[in-house]
Amino acid sequence: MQVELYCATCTKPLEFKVPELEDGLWYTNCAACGNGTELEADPGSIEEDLATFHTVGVFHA
Amino acid sequence: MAPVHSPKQNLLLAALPEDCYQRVLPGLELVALPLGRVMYESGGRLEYLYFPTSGILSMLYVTHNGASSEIAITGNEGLLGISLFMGGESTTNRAVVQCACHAYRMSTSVLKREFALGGAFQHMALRYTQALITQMAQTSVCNRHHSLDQQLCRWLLLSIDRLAGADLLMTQELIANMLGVRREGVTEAAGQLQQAGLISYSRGRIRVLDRPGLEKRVCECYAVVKNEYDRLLSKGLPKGA
Repeated sequence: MQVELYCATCTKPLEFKVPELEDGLWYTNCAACGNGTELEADPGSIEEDLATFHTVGVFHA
Repeated sequence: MAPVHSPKQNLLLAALPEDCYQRVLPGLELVALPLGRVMYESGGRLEYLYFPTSGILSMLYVTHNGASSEIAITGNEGLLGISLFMGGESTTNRAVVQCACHAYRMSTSVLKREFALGGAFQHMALRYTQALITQMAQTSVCNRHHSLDQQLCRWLLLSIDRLAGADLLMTQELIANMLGVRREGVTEAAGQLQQAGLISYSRGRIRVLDRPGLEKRVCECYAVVKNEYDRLLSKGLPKGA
């Protein structure tokens, strides 16, 4: 199950259901500050219903 | 501007008549499919039908000694999980995400309800299945009779047909696994394509520089598959078709 993640810029909780994808990189934009946080998929198992992610750092488009 | 997601980014869903599309729409859920995610294992039970809106999903078979070979790929021109409506519920191959993407997934209950109506959805699913069988059969012929150079050209063309750009994020090791050959063979074949100015390869990124050149070099297998997809899915064409 997806754990709560925090914006790499302002540290507020990130609200996302499905991250975005650009040039092979996953990210989500923070509703509070508008900046992107880069995400990386967790090495999940096939039993997990949905892919989960952890933060990597600030997303640079 | 935030990206906009729509099930109609999958060409099969986009080709459905509007009344059929509106009926299945509530049952479609947007999901993220990261690179390498295993969609199902051999013999595993599928829970959803997937309609990719980008990227590539790869169906492959892994032998008892660990060797693997790709059977077919699908992108936004198709779907993953035909065994759910063909009646078998599971399949002998394995499916993995070859290029990260989004997809809409449909639960088996929605799928079976819509398929049982016998209308446009069923027709779409069966025609796609026939196109997929063609791809699988032609892959088998290609792997047996054509050079690795030609197989690599076919694989590159089929892959970039399903991607937004001309870049593939892929290691030679992974390509070797897909083609069922040794990595050294892929290195040599890729080197020849690079020398001919058809592709560039750097740090796991393959860029197709000369698509017409690849199409001249490839065996007939690429055109056989492409033409059959065009014929069967006339409104749901892969990019480049």
